[in-house]
Amino acid sequence: MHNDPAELSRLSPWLAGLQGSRGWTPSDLFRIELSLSEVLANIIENAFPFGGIHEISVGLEDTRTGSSFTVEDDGIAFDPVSEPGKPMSTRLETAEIGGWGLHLIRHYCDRSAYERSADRNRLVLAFDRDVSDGKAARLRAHPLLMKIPKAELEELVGRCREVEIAPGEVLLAPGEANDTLYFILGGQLQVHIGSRDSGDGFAILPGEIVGEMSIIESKPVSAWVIADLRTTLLAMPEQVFWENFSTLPYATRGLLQLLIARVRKTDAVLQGEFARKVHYEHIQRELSGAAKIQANILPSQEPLLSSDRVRASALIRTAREVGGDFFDAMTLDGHTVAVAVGDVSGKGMPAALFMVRVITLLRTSLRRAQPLSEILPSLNRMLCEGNDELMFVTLAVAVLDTDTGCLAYLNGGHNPPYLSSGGGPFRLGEAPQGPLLGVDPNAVYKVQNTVMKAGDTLVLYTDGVTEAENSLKEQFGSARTAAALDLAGSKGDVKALVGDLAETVTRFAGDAPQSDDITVLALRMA
Amino acid sequence: MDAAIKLENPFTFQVASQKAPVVVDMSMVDFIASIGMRLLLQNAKALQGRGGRMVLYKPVPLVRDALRVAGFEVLIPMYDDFDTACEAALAGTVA
Repeated sequence: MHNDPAELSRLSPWLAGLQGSRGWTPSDLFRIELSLSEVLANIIENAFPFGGIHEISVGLEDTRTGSSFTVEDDGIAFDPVSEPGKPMSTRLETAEIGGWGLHLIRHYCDRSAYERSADRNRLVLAFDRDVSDGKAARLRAHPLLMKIPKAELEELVGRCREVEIAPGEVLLAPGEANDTLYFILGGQLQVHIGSRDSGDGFAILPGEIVGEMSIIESKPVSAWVIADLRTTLLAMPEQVFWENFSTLPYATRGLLQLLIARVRKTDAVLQGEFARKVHYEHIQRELSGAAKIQANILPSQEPLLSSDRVRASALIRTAREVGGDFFDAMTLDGHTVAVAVGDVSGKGMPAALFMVRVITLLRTSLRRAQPLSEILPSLNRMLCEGNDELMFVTLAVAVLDTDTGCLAYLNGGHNPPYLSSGGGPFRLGEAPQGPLLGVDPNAVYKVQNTVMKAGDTLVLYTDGVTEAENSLKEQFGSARTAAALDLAGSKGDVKALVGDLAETVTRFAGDAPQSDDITVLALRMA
Repeated sequence: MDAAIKLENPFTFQVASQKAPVVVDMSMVDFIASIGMRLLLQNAKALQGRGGRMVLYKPVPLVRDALRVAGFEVLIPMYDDFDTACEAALAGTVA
């Protein structure tokens, strides 16, 4: 046949035609058709990633004990015999579509062999006649039992019990004494390390064993072993293990191999645990260090400015993780003050350090009394230099001459400010054009000049205010911000104004988690 | 094999357009392989996503065994009694 899914429908009539001459029971026919259709479907789906038409041959041979099928293809190498089984999900939500093919083949097929030669895959599946209940087949499929000669295997198994447990049933519980070695023949068990519902653990698949530790060490069971699926086990009493099993030539080697694989698996689980814990602690330290830096560099003393011609107040409500917002307020000389609000990209230590740089450079530029039109361009150039982590910052700066009321407003990609004249309604001011800082060293920035009179208020903020979201995914927005300022502004001083706006935003967001810092700064001419 | 391909769209349409509990009568199904299992699982998942539940009614022993080996027992419950099957399907459905 060739590698076309439609060709799969030829399998059934072909096998049905052979059933009579080979004396297959309905059960035999089912097993054979299921196994072959799995193998062929898998080949058609996965063996030819580059497409094209390919021949797959299926041959039948009669053996002493039954029938043997040989499937050959020239696709990419794939050995279903040695492929390790994948644990199966026990919940519909997380169940993957597919992946059960190998389980089916292993369960139904008595013997299998794989060979790759001359760029061809050759898979042999043998089905024996006497498997009316499949028991002998499942036993022989178990790696620890498969090399044991038939007669000795029968004697051994005669001294054991075959057990079936339902999903959810506990096979072993910690602290119990255990004197049985279990060979998993079909289904799936789950080892739970720690508590019964612990997510830490691993699956035990057909072909493995469980209980060996408590037998060998004569110590109580150390973990929960619970069935994920209906599981069939061969239960071998301790005595039979020592007297009959361990004396068989292949048995102890196989057992040691399984134990080593188990140690590796547990090791991997523990290593993963440890690595996660170290990583988590590292992140926590970095975040708290960053938060400390942020707290230390920002002005904390109120009043923010020492002039009595002007009042300023600011606050930041940080989000759970350090979000990168900052503000600053400086008295530059007897008649000049400056305020700023900004938002650094990113979180954690790199953002905090970048913030330190931004604030320090800004303060230095302002104190050096650089021409105002030069402040953002030179700050931007300095931030672009050596900016390996490609951090950037939005920034709004207002420099006020408290004698004349002249206000110079500088903007680097930041939100436009709100202005209120003499206690009137707040409206959005026009921010001069200018991109955020740290990206393009040649960016051009403009200065906007206005005049503030007694009673005028300027409000700077970050997008943590306007873009605050509630659980309905609505944003706070600029209309609400203006309204909240109007409501609060008439009442008290700048401190109350700032506090009220922050409070209104927080109430609006409600249960929705705060994803960004909320920063508000208000400046009012007395 | 053919049957699964022919069945796919009508089956999916029936199941996928419902929000109700679904009892799949398996009593006449005498063979199942990957394709059939895929069909069942995909639809069971889709149904669950919409608050419904799928159960299988009277799968024949060979098919039941195959579904067990593929780990379906804990994903899509199987019942031999029609009333129990209906109860289970209703119980698992979110109204």
